[in-house]
Amino acid sequence: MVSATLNNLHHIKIATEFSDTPLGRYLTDSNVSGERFRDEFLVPALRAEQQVVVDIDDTEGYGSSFLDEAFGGLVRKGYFTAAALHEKLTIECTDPDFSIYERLIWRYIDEARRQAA
Amino acid sequence: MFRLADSYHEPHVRDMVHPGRLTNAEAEKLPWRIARRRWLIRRDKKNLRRRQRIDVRCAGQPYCEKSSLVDSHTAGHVQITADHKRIVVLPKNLDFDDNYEETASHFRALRLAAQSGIRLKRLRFDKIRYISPSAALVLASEVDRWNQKIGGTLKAAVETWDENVKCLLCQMGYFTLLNIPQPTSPPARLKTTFLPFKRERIRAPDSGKRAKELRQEIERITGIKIKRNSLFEGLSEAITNVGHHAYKDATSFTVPQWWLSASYDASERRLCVTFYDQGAGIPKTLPASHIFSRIADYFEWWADSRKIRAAMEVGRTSTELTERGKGLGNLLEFAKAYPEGSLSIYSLKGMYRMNSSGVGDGAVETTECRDYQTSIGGTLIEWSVRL
Repeated sequence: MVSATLNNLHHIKIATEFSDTPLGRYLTDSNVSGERFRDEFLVPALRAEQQVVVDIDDTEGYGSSFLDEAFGGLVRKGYFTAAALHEKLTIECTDPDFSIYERLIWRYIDEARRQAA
Repeated sequence: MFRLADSYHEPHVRDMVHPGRLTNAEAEKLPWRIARRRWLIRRDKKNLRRRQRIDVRCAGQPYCEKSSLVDSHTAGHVQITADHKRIVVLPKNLDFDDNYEETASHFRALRLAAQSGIRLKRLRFDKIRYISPSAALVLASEVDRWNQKIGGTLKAAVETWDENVKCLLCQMGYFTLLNIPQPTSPPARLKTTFLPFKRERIRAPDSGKRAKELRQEIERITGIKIKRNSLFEGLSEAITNVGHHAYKDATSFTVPQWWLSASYDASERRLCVTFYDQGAGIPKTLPASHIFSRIADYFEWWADSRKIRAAMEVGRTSTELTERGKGLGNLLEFAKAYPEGSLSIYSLKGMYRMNSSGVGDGAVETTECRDYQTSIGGTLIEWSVRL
């Protein structure tokens, strides 16, 4: 994993560093699932850095399963609270067609509840 | 052909064994050999009547021992040749929209053959004059499964096919499926182009790449950049759902795959993308979800189309934002991305369709549901948009 780190700012571009065709929710769905992106990219970056920017441009698109598991799963699995993510995480996109995904990500984060232990 | 026992025709024997000429008391006094003969004759007459009924359903051909191909849906679709080989004759119009029952029942005959291990000699395509993209994809999947399960390839006499149909099916990849050499004559100039179908095992590592390849091929033949993220959303959701639900109760007959294709009608600028799986179907897998498990007892009595509609409505209303749904609700996005679009979902015996006209706040959506006699054998999702 090669991600830009500058002054405690961690930048992840999904299309080039993970996959331009992210698909599926769980590891069993595909090798570019939301669960894998969360566990191998997001969680380490959020734990190590103060700020993480995720660039969602230039992929084929995103299914709700991928986004919900990758981002909503951060709260559901107990890695972070929604409030902490609002402080540490920034979603970046320049493509107007992808702006809906930014809204969806924050909605999945806000709606997620931590699973019972 | 069955014959009655020879001894039955002897007058003295016939007098003794004919059921109508003896009383029960007299019958009880008969020697056991005669009594047994009476029983055999009654049984054979009964079997003869049963076989005559099956002969009628087999279009007058000699009795086919493996009558599992014949039921109320497939009667008449399987022909038996003089050398007792079985062929399936595909009808003139293969279209789920205009001719659902005949289309689905012919595919069912092919499915039953694969399930029963019955070797079909040939598929006859010569009567086909029109085949819709969806019907072509479902037929391709049935032929594909037959090849994988039974082994060998179904034969087809391509020289008797309609030229337009030959060109379309060649484009889709049927010649490879049927192991037929590609035609050397120039292809007919058609207003519709079929893209080669793609198939993939469920949970394959690179499933998303198949969706990207299809999008690139669509843009190549149409010359138009399509709304790739909306298309990918729908395909991504369909592929993920198949992996989660469709083949949970897979049997040895099941081939856990999905099939994907597209077609473009240049005269109407209409793009049609179809996705098909041969899984359990939405009506059967839906009750397992946490929402419907609570009403599973009532859910069982719903028609299949109503269950599909319920699945779509839950996907759209499970979140407060009306602009986007989750799960199956994602399937609607590609149809809604264009001023004129529709999404059709055929699953088992039901069909749900959403028609959308206009975009954004001015969009008007209408839905319709239908139920049929014959199952489609899985779930077919069809997006149709005018570019």
